[in-house]
Amino acid sequence: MPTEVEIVWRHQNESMDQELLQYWQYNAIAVDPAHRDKRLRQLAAVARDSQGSLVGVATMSIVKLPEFNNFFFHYRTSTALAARSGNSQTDYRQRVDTYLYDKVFAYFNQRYDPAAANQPIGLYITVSTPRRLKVMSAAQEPYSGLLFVGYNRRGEQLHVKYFDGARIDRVS
Amino acid sequence: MSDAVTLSVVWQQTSSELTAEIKQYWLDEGLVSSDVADQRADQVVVVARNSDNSLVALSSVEAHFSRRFQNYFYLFRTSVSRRAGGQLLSNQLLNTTYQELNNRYSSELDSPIGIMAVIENKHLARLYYQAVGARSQMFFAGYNANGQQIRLRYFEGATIRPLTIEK
Repeated sequence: MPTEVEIVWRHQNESMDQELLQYWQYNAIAVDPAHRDKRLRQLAAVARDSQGSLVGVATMSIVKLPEFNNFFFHYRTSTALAARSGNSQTDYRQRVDTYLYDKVFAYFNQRYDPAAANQPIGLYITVSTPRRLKVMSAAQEPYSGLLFVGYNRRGEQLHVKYFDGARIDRVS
Repeated sequence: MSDAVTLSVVWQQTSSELTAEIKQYWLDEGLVSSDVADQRADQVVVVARNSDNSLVALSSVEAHFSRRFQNYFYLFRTSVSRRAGGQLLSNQLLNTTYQELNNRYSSELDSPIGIMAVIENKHLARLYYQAVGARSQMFFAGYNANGQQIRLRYFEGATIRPLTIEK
């Protein structure tokens, strides 16, 4: 499936908001109404098929992970129902979530400034569902380069990928 | 010191003579107390000798279950004599140790999946500001409860032990 990915981080586009709300509803992606506006502002990238329909979405929030005492982007993706069956059958390089991940990482990696303090030094994902745990069983995922960094308090796996040349902020 | 140093892998093949030499090295350097020296000598992976064939540095590992990771790692330690020198030799020890253990990696449950180092020395910790070490490829995996950096490098093809019951 040809997929175009567009970075829309910090967009102020009302029609994009409406499109995203419809996407969540149509694809039965649960979003707490109390957090809906916040989630809209976390939109980082959208993937579209050749007809221009949304087939995947990436969101990010900036989080200071306590065990790291450093800021990261918390990266999350969703895939449209129509594209999910293809996800399990096709080469991972052709997957919608792979397109999104590659584009988003490259975009923020290019903008990372090692000299600036208190900024995200990479991104992390959480993995909790049995299907995803099976997929993410490698300590260092060979394609994405994501590194397993333990479990959080909810028992979810954390995987991080650092930006090139990332420098850690010291414990204060 | 620019004296040429030779590294040798001695993992699980330490003779009684080498054990005695390692213990004497630790005693001379004031590094390991005699009551744990025998146990620690069995954990030595690589030794470094200078041109006089004197032992001037070594690395050792100990299998360690990390609660946060719910997986086993080899906890890496190194010591470098004041007569030898410094950060470069530590990195050589680390990389040689990694290669040896990586070659022996087993995907069996409860086998260590990588090397873990805890940066206990505050002065040394200041040098570790790269999220991924350029020479060692050891990556920053957060801080322990004592505020010390944890550094990891996974073995090739290492798989995560599933989360079961808490140990």
